[in-house]
Amino acid sequence: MKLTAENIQFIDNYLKNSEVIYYEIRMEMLDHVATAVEQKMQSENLDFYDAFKSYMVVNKREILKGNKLWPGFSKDIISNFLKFLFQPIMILIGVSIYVFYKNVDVSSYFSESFAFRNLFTVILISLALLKIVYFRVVLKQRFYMIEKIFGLLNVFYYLQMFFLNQRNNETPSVFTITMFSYLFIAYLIYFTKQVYKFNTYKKQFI
Amino acid sequence: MKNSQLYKGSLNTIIMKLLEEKGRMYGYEITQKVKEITKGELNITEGALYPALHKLEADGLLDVEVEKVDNRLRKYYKLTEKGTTETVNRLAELEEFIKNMQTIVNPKLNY
Repeated sequence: MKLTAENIQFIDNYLKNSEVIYYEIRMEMLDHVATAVEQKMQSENLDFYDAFKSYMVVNKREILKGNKLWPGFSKDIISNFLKFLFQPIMILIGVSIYVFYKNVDVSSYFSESFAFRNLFTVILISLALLKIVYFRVVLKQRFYMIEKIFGLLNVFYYLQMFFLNQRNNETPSVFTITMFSYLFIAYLIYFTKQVYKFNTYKKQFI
Repeated sequence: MKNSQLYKGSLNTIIMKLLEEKGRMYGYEITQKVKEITKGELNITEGALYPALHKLEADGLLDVEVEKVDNRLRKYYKLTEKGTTETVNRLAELEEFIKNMQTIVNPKLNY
């Protein structure tokens, strides 16, 4: 017994009201619940609402466990990004950045009121704004796959707080500025690659 | 999942083994297939299955295909090339584990 478009919409609304906010996660849960309800309707000769109610009473907790996602610190994305940082081509970029900073005194191009280390804060804020525009204006739907990549910005924020203390007037070491430049450049390359992958993925859903 | 602590470590291998046999499967189908094979003894819960599938996907071991089926979207999982190689390794590892456990639990039986 197949569910109607209205039945599917009912399940979708139910999941939305249960705060399943990510589109691709909700679509997968919806299919799981819909298939289970169809089986129940057939095997127990129930109508849609009775089958749905009876299924959710028993399985709601387990189903919604798949929604316990926090894109702020995704272990998968952090470990994949770390692997990316240690790819030979990325290490080569890192060494080039180090050699550049070792030979060029970039701090002399910045004033006392806007020191070189402030640039990293500006980049971080710009990336956070880009995130808001990308989600609200471009995507309109929330996708976990792409949102968790922006979670890396939280890690950068705390690293920056620790290594580039804005209240400390000392010029950061070549190693520190290399590390941050490397992280941001690597992030932009990684992000571009992931967005490209995501666009193929998204086309399947929308 | 029944005796979850014992089965937990093998969940990914179970999923990969099924996908190796069937080619591609969706979440609900995997839970039902495991139930059917084990005659209802092993019940993979949704709360364990989907995080495991998403992790395998993030690690590049599974690929995804989405299709419209009966007014809704269905996400099918299949092994990537890396996933196929990894399945062979994990199955060998699991078999070795079972053999060792058998030796410890029942040393009189010779395999």
